[in-house]
Amino acid sequence: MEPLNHATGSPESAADLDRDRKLEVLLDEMVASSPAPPREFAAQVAAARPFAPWEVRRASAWRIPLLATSGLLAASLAVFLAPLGGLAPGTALAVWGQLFAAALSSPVSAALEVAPALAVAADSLRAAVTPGAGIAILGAGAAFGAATIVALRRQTVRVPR
Amino acid sequence: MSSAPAHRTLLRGARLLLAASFLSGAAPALAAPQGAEAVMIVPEGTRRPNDVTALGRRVEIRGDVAGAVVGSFGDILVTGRVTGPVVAIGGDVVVAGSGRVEGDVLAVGGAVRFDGAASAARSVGGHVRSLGALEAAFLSELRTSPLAGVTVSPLLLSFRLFLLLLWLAMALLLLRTAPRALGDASTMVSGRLVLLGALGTSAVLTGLLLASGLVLALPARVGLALAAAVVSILYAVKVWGLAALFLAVGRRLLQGARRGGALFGDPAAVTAGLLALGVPSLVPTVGPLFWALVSLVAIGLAVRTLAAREPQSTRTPLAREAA
Repeated sequence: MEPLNHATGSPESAADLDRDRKLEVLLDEMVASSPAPPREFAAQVAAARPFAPWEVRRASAWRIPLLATSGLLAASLAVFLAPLGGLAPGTALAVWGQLFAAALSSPVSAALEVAPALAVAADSLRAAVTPGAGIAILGAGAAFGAATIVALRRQTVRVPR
Repeated sequence: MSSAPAHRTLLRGARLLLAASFLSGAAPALAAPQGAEAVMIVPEGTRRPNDVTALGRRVEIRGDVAGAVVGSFGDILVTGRVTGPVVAIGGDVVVAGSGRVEGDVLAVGGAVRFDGAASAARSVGGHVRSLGALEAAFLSELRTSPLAGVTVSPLLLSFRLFLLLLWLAMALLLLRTAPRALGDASTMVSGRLVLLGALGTSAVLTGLLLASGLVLALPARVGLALAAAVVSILYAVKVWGLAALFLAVGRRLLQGARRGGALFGDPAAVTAGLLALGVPSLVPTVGPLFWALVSLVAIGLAVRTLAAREPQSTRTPLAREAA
């Protein structure tokens, strides 16, 4: 079977093959005659290589984040515990843990607690406004969304990537 | 970073209702009656057998109301008796004197106050909740804690530092699970902050309008659940956008870092970005405003990333030229 030219999809001619052979010989000669790369060449290339996504799996890449998280935790603890100098360390830490756990979970419980009152308020508001108000606002939201999409598409066309 | 993630979700929900009430009550509010007509009064000695709803007006309950009292963009004063809940959206609730509310008292975008002999324990049968301040829920916990006598500001600062830690943990988790996608998203920041901010604002407005419309167009519980879903989606978009923004800012800051050094790599870049954007948010007054702007840019970045048909890194130079 005749070899194919991958650029054109047509069979290679004898002249094409001959030209390729000459090019190969020329390249071989250039490589053979050129001076060897410096010893640190590989190291320099490796050093200049940008951070690759797969490198996030390397433990060495996480030293700074670990340091920062430790620092933030320590700062938070220090600021919190400073006014509580009279408490024993264990008690102060327990207070910190319990208070922060409560502070982080309280919005959820607050939302659950106020949900019935909000439902009553929503029903009252719905009864007080004109019947089509909700639909009109939904339409306005859809129009805003559509405008955002159109703006995005225009921006994508204008900015070559 | 001004508040906990859950706080933000809650507050967004509050803002949805604010927007709903504003839009639904815009006309009455703009044409707000002046003088005595601007106040809806249930006089002393009278009894209203059903709910009282006011749009853009102050409400004064001096008599009895056998139902709920709901106010939109107006304060509510209770010196009489209300059997249902009292909800003020974009206004304060004041319970004074011998006023009594059997249900919950809720102020969204305002405060709940007690004047004279009134108090939460004596005057309210249900819960008292105010979502007016960013840290309302957190502060309410502080007020009920044994630390009530301790100055609040160091505690708030401590809490905010802890929230920075949570933001960092979330961003690093996203980087660890989707490094390539986050890297692609971060490349879309350069020189387009205004555009991204506008996109973010538009996305937030879209979400608010949709959620408000759902609350007003559907039965309350269904509408509130769907509105909460819309807000949750917005929040997830913000988390992704912020992680990408941290990475973009950090890469810019650490571009001189050399391979092998501690500051080299995307994890260090995310950390640097978080510190660069998060620490200024701790500054009183200006900090929350700064964080709000950062959040809008982040949402815009996430929306733009989601809308991109093809990640940049998969395109070869030839493909870019062809495009």
